[in-house]
Amino acid sequence: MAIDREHAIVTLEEYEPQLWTCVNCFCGFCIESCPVFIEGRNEVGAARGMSQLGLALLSGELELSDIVDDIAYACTGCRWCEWNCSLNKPLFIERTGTRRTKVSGATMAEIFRSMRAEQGKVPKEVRDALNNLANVGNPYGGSKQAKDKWVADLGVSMEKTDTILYVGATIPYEDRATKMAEAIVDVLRAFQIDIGMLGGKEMDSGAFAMMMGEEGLFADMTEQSEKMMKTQGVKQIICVSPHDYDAFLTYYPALDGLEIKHYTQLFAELIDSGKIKFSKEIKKKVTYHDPCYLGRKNNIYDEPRKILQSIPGVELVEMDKTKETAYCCGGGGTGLFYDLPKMNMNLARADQAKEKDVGCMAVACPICLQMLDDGIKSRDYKFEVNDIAQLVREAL
Amino acid sequence: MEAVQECIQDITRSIGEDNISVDKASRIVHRITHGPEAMLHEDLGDFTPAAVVRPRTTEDVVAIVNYANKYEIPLIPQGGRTCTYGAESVRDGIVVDTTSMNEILEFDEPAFRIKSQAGVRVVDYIDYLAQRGYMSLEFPTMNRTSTLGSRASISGYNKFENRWGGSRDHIKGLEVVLANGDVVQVGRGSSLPTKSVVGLDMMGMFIGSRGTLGIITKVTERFIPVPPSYIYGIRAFKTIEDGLRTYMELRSPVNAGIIWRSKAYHKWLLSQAVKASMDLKWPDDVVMLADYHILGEPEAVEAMKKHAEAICEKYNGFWRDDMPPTDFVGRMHETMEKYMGMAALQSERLVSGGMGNRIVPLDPQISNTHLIDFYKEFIEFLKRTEDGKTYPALSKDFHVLSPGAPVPAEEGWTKVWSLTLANWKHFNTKSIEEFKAWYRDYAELVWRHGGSLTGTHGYAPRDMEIEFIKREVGETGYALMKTIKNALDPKNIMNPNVKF
Repeated sequence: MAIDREHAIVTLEEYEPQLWTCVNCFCGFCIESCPVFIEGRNEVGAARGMSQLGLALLSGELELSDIVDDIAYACTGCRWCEWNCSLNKPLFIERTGTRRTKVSGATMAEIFRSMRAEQGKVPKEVRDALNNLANVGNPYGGSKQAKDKWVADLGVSMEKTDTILYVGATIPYEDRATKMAEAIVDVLRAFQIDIGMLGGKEMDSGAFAMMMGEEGLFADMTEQSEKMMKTQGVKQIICVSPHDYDAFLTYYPALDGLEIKHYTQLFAELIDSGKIKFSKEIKKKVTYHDPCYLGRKNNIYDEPRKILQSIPGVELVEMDKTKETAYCCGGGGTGLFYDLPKMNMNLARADQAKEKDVGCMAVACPICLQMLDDGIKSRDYKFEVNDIAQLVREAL
Repeated sequence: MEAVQECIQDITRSIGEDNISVDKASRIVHRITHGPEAMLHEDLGDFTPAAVVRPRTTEDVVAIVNYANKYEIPLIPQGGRTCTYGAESVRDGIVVDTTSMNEILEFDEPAFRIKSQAGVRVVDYIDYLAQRGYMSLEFPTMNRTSTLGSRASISGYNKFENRWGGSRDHIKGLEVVLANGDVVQVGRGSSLPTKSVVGLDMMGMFIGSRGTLGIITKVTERFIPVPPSYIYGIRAFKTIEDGLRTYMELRSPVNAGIIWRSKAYHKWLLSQAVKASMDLKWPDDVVMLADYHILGEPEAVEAMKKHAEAICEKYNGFWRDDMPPTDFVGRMHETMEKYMGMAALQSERLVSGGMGNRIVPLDPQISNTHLIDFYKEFIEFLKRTEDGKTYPALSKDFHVLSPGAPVPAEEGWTKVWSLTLANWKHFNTKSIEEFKAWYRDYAELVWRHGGSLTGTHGYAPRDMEIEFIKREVGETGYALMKTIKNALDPKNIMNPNVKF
């Protein structure tokens, strides 16, 4: 359920009911598959641990300096804890729960980050990304002109913006993510699907700022994006990144009534309606990695699989940790920019794909694409990672 | 330098700094458990350890124990910390987090035996067996984080206790590191004959010992093939007598070979359950439910289903359209444990966005002879708990979630699995005092009916525990326990706050 930006911002004091809820329960469902717990073998960075630390901060038993980087910056926001939490399941919470009222390790970590940001105690890598977000709207520091030029070179309209492809803050500043977006554009163009882009006017949806704990910046960016959407007359938003898709659904109540989709939903519809037709085979054993913000956070599991299964020649196999139990790529939270020594989720995920002897790992997220590509290369595995859109384009 | 710091330094040198945490945050995270004891301490510093160590092997544990022994530092073994009693830490002790000892070591398929390190989580163990076509008999509610070593340590209750018994029946062997650093194999593991004629049955001494006699490092368990057929049934009853008599007859030893589980539920719980999970109103005239799980060969299951239905009919069992759909009720065990066992219902968080509540389980173990009388009296006692007159301070922050869902304990005995909820944040000196008085009243009620407080969770307020043990096992029984404890752990370093 969407809440406005003022309500999305929550302090540790305001979040206290959820901390007590978790500490009182202590069931441990949240740590069962928490990747931070699995990687680090220490509960301090998992929801059950962080809830105890939150209460210790409130009581004065701990100081913020005790919340070191390994605690504050380990959580990738994968939502395992939030999804599995027994105390988020009753109807009351399922119906009314928001960032403010759901028990969530991601929210706890984001609050810790926000407290650190207030004191200026932010790791350099995160600070640089935040400064870039504040200055130019993306964490890489890429210019708005470069984005305009990229869109212009693609031949996509920046004037006709009732339906837009929202590429987000990683594109066109990271090569792999950029190729993913270009594949989406190529597919849509191949079937005469008319779509515009905002170019340099587009900035991060606020997802990065929220994940990094810079709530003031989050509020500014969501406000600006909201105004810009209205000014441009946007009626439908097709998101490349699950993080932006989630942000629009979660933090933009003013956009209620707009049609907001992830591109895999659109592709699945186009396949269903017979608009997308394949002419080539891709003879590959493929496994699909569920992005956390598409799967656990927004319950989109079927559409990406439907697309892959419709590509001739593709043999889709599931990893052991799949769908609701999918392991995180490690890129959420601050993971894309800030490496913590014990957190190697992308390597673990690459190992899980390798176990299935696949030729390709398919993703549907520009962050997963980067993280898993790095993981596979670090392991020196021979299979590749591709976005679903790239596979679809290849099969046209 | 303090002894504990010297001890930590030596342990660090021995097992490596990656396997030990001394930062305050890690120590705070490992100090309490799911148990209610922490509510009764206004200073949680009482539980804050000096370090958390994470051994990976038996050799690591031996090193830790030897240094603790040398410096006389308390050791507190922990698994998933979902138990309700005994895994809370000790101020300036050292927590031994066993969850990094998580390897399955041997899988002996023809002998139905599996040997694992003690830190293997039950959920992973269940998956491991399921992938091979077998079924775990260890099946606690808190299976997501609880470990096999913990199951031995607490003498766990299991879902199919009626047919297969508890953890004490599934565990066939243990490896234990004693307080002097010796490693001992106890029990009847897969390499030993089933009927032991070699001395005393020492394994039983460690099961349920909660880390007071040694640290369990390996566990051998039995498992079974997945039964080919399964049927679930449930019926409603208008009186406590009908509901409980049905439950008792369903779980009769004559039926227990095929009826693996039977359980009864009271409307006090049900009305909250369906409200919170389905937004339905529970019909007021439906007082009890009784259910059964039948597993086995298809023909036997079908035949037993008819028999179970006949039992339900004999006691006026029924089902009606104004009750929740049976697909919900059929899954009620799982659903209820997930939603209610975790204190989701009736918590202030659901009602008003409050703080959530801590669950305080009560497990009076009562003989079937006294069950109906006890149950009625227990419900009245719980009503007094909430009436604001008998326990005026406590009742403000203490509520009843379930007056007890009777489930099978040993043959002829029942565990009345009850749940109360405490608003821990608001507990103060007065409510703590009243809680202890309330607990004593509860204990006297149980003993008056010839029962025991030790159904499953084994919780009793720590400063009343020794008195209560003596009431249940007698002075000489307790003296024997002390003798064994002193012989095995003369310096009292093994989980010293528990029982002794």
